Amino acid sequence: MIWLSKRRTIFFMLIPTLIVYLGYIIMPVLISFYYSLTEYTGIGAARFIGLDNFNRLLNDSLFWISLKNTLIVLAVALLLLLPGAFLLALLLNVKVKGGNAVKALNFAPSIVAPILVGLIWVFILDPQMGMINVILTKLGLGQFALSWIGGKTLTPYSIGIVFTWQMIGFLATIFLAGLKMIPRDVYESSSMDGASKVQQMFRITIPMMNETVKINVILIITGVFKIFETVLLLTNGGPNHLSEVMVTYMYNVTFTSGEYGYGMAIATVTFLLTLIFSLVYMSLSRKSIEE
Amino acid sequence: MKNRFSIILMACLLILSLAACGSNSTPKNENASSGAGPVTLSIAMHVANVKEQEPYMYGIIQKFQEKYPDIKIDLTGAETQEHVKKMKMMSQSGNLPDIFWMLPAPAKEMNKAGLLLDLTDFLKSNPEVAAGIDSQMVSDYQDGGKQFGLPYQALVTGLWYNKALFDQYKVKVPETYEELLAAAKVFKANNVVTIAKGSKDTFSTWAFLGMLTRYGFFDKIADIESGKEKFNNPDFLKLFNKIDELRVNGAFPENVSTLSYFQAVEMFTGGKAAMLDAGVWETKKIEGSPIAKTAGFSWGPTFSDGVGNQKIAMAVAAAPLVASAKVKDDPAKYDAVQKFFAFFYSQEGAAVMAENEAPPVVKYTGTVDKAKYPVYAEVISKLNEPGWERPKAQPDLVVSEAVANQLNDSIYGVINGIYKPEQALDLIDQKVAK
Amino acid sequence: MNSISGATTSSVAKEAKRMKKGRISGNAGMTVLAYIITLLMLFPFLWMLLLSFKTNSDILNNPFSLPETLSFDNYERALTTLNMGLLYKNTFIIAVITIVIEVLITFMSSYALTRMVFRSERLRRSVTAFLLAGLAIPAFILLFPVYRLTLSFGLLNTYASLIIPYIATSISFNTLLFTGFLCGFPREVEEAAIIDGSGLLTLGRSVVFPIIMPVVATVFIFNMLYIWNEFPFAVTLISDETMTTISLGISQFKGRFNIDYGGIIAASTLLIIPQLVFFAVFQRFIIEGMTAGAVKG
Repeated sequence: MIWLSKRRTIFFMLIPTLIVYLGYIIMPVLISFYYSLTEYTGIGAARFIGLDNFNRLLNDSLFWISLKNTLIVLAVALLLLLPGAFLLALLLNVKVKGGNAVKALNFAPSIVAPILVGLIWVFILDPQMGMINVILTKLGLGQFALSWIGGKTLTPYSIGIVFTWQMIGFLATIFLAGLKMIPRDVYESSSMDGASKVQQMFRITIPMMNETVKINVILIITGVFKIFETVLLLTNGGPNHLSEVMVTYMYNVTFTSGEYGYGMAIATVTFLLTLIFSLVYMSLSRKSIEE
Repeated sequence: MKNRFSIILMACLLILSLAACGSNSTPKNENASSGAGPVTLSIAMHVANVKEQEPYMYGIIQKFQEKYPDIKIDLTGAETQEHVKKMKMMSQSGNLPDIFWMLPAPAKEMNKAGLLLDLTDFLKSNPEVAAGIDSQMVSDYQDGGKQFGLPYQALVTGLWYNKALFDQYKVKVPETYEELLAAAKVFKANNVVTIAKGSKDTFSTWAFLGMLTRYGFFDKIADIESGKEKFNNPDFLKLFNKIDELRVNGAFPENVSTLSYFQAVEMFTGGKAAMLDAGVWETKKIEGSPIAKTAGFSWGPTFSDGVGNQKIAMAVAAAPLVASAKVKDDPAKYDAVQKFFAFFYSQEGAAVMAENEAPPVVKYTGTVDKAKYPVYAEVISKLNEPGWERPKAQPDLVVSEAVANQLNDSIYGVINGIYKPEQALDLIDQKVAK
Repeated sequence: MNSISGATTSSVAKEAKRMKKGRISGNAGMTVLAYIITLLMLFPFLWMLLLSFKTNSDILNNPFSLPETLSFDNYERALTTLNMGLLYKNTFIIAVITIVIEVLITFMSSYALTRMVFRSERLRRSVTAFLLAGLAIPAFILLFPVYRLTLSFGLLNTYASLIIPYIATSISFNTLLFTGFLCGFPREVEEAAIIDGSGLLTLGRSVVFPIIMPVVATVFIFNMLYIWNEFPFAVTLISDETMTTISLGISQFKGRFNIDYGGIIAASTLLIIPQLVFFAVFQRFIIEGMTAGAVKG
């Protein structure tokens, strides 16, 4: 490779991406970071106030609630969504009749307009008129008819489940691409050696999918920290901010309350937390490979 | 062959630059021209589909263009929250539309930053307009010696009721709080929702904001903002305790915390709720619903322990229509803006308003067909009923966006049973302190 | 010797037969399972289809009931409100230009980052991490600054106003997928080609690109669907009615204090079907791309 790696060539290959990225992502982020150090309504002049917004954040109970809820959603997603998507990909990888249609239909939840996701899932989860509780009550299991949304505790778990429903087809597609990239002869030679399907799974598929798993975990972490519309339309963060996640809280502060500076401080912290979580995961996964 | 990559890249860059040039050579909705030729006015509204969602404004624009064929109107819109965001963004870059709808608090901010046209001269030179609009509504949009906007619509809010349900359970349509509470108990026993509400849309607290004015909101607000008084004062606490009492007695839907405002409206028009907290913008909808014949509109309950006049009718200015300060740089445009405002508040404009059953912002001298529009006629007659005082504004419209947001949040906090009354009021005080 | 190899051949054939049989019966079970899961996933969607035939008041008051009569009012309203041809044309132009450019530039940069020799390994790693960091950024914090940039370039209300931010926001996602898959893929094939004397362009075009076709197809599909549904940038940067894109369609049914759910549901149904067809068609390239690569490898 080395003789292709002239500095000029590398430069030429990286520069278009870097220019767009610096101009439209990094610069806006730096500008937003500057605003996080100001008091600003979004109109007129911003007043520089140093780290006051970040101080305020430490004592803002709603911020901590939104962080806690985000972490609950993250946990649900890692426990449910990741293995779920992998199993779905394995299933879709087997040739079934109408396979393309099945794949496309499993992808449907990630392209339904969010406003409908909100509407339909409210009809399912609502404690009074929602389908789950109506059925439970009819079955005489009224004691299990809980406040899936709108109560004080369960909402973030429900959001995690709706998020799983929305994302599973998306992540399964990436797993599928990973499965397709495993050369077929690896399987063929191993079955020649008499390896069973289960052995193949643990000795070939999972190790060779390592990079794909990494991609999907990163996508889940960054995706969960960016959840917005699902919560907005399912509960609008309610009742009274108890189901707020970080981006909805940021949005509420920035655009509904018109506290642009403080909103950008929340955004900055959200961004840093996402980075920390991703980096920790990356370094953990690197270690486990090296061992 | 070898150069294919670079050719593609070049082509892409070319496309990009072409697109860029294309826009530079044909500036849209920017200052088209000055002097004699046709003028283009850009107007931005708070809904994406103005024709369907704000037929009133759309109709006026059509009529206006018929009358002034030389003035072209470039009408754009986005849904409310996006629109407000967009206007803020445009204001930062000196790119505001000529005329636009805005929420009162950010409009005031824009005025402070010198971005809005002062309409004082316009009112002076058009006395018939000044006389036609409620003077209280005009003065709502004065700040720092400037008339920075004029009311786009009247905000008329209160409690809608369905007489049929009150008759069925033999309850009186409440005028006082005690009657409301008594009715709630009867309805609760019969599994009927007394007041349909949805806390998912935290903005839907109108009737309760109205009640706040019956506990001396406008006597106290100046002191509250200067730190001499608190939201958590004995009077407001009485009201918040009553909201809590209504909750305990089952006046609100049990799933109020997951309902949206739109579901609450359907609950009422579907005959499942006795009352609805909303405003007269629902007139057309109620008029077309099965309960049209039995629907009525009230100003909400009065309180025996209230402060000051209890007969307060919440008919105030909703949100202003404002113009960019920049239109003054172009005489032809300035002239067109003035023509538009004059037309908007003329009797011709008011007629369009009445056709669309919109709450009147101008004293309309035409008549309403009672047989055809029973609900609209009821609203108009309520508005003309003597003996009711109009407040200065709706309470959330005179405070900052942050405090207004918390005010709604606190009211719903009590309705949801999440906040204790004192706690709800303390939270507002915390926002005021900032 | 002969007999042994004969035995082996027959046992291999037997084994293959057995496997084939097992695969068939396994497939039947798998098929049923796949259908059941699909049905579960689709349930809310089917329900939406049902709701699209009901009136607004029926949707909110009796969401579970079957529609009394099959009314196409909602669809009629959706079609008269939305100029479907225009929405599709705009979205399509934006999507195609965006995706061609972004796949090209992010593939180039990812290839450089995974295959080329940097002067220091650390530099290589930090550039990669730097490009990936964008994944953590919610679009909302970009809106104000991007609006300003667009205005100062004179691009408001042009296709380019959306194309550039879409390329920018896709960089991190594409880099994650491209570098991830390139890392996991053996470099022997390329090295052989280099020894044969291919230059960088030939290498990229006729060796590497075909091999990672499944990833390119995945990136293509996801970006297409992202652009199809992207709302915050579109609503901020486009106000000209002739420039509206599909994602802005839904907001046509919302007023200040009212929502036409029937119209929204019908419009979404009309918009989602082409997307599903698109996905079903392009999903194939993920599979076909691999077979092509495998033959060459």
